Amino acid sequence: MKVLFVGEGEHDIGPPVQTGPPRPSRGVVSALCRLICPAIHADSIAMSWRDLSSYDLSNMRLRKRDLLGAMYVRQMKVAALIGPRKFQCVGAICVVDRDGDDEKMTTLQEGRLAAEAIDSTFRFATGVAIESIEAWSLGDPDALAKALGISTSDLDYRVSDVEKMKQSSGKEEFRSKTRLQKLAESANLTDCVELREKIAQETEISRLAANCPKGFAPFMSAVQDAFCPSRADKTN
Amino acid sequence: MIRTIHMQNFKCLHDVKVDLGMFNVLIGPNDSGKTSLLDAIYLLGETTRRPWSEVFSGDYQPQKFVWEGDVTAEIKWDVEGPLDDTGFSYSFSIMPGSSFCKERLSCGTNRMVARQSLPDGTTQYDIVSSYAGDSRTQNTRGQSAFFTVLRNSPRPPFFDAVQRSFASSQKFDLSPQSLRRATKLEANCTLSPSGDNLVAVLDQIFTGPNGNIRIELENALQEAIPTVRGIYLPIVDQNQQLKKLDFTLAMNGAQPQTIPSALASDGAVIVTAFLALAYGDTPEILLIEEPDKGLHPTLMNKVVELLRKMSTGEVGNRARQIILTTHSPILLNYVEPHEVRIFRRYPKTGTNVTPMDQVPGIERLRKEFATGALWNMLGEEGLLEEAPA
Repeated sequence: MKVLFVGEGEHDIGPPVQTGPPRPSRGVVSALCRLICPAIHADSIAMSWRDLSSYDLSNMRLRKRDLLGAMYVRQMKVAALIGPRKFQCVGAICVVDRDGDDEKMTTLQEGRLAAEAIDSTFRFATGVAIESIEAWSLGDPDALAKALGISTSDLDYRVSDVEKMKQSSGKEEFRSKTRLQKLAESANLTDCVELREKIAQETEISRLAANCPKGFAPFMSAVQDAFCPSRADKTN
Repeated sequence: MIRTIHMQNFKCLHDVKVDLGMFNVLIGPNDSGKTSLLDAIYLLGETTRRPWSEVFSGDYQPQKFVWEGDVTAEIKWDVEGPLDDTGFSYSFSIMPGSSFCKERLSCGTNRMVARQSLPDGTTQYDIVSSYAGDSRTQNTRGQSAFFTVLRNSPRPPFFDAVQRSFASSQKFDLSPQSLRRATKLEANCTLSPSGDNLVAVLDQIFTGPNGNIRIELENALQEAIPTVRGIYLPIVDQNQQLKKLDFTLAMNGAQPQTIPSALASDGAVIVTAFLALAYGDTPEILLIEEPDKGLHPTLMNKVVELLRKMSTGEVGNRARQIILTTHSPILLNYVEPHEVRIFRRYPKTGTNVTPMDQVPGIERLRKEFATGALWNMLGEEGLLEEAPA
């Protein structure tokens, strides 16, 4: 099944392309979702939250003063409009970084309900990475070590801390993006989309869910509910 | 007013029926048939005014615009319009491979069929009505039998109404450069398709018997562009009777200042041209290509509003049917779905036209998104295709 991935940057959903939006779905979220639900096609597409806004010319004057939460709701409505009708997608998988904002999960739920008014058959799975998407690359140390070609014992962070890490942290060891960059450099690699994808492809998703219980675990469950037929049948 | 036009074998309009209102906006990709429809309506009007041999010459030789170059195909126009309780229908057809044109008119119990041979201009026609009940042969000099024969006595009462409905149309693709040009004053001057003669047309309006028209026109201009206070047409060359277009601008409480149109915005000049069409002696059907060209997005709303008011007669000396094309989602944001016709072109079947109010779920979608935003996000294909099951 073809899915529209919505995220914040190229590490999440893949790099933009000259012909886009949309861009081919790549990055951490796409790779993990294909592990969660293999029925999701590799030729799925992705758009950034900003891409969705640029499509919508309805409220040009309102946009600047819209609150961030209202923006997400609006963008999810746009996804529900163009996902099926323009790009023949059966649903959307939307991810944001929490970045210290406790309201984001509630906002995405509101967006999901609002989008039903646009197309009630379009499926949504939403997730909030805590505190940022890097947690989902640091959350399975074995996968990370394998992708880097190093030993797990060489990893110098506690996996229980990954959902506490954020780039704006005052402590350098808690800056998740910096941590990943340094690990990549130590293995003579660059922190790039390809590396993030490789980590995701090596990931044992149940282990990642156990290590990221606030962010990845509920997201995995949401993806299964929305897109895995057997799981959906059980739910029904 | 044309209520319905059915075109066959004209350019990419292989077999297309389009319902029209008084205000219509045509959207679709390039080469989808929007301009072809405008051409078709304009040409039909021309066949009622000029000898057919003239109309169908040069770029408009039938073998050049017949569908897929098939000279055996009949190129046919069928139009219907309102007239009293019954309405009227008129059809005109031409065979590119032969020299015959046919026309057929039906107004209630009145019916007329004519078959004309080109190029000698001999027409055989039958009139079945209370005005004439016989078959005749007459040389109409290669012009429409209906509009030539019935124009002369005894002219039936429906004649003027039918003629107004579709025989008078003009196509415009206005260029700000042409609109700004100084113009020689001549009697009965009309605005050219690109906008030449604007100054002469305005001069005719301003020097006409109704002095209030100038005030009305300038008020409408000021409503659209608040900084413009009025229009001034100074003489450039007395001997040649040449005048140019200037605008008087409000100066925040100071003395108004007059500037030449060369220094005025494209928007001011284009809006002035639309108002000249509204208040001048201009056709009943205005076919306008991309009126959004050169307009700032914030002016689109006012232009749409102005054109819509022209279509109801709220602005101008009478209501006019307006059919325009656009590629601007911003302009379309101010248009209602029932005013929009979506054009798509298919290789085998040619152009297909769908009213936007027939898009599945459009009422629900319009609660969330403006018309142009929907078009921008979905394109013609996405608007007309159902979502996947």
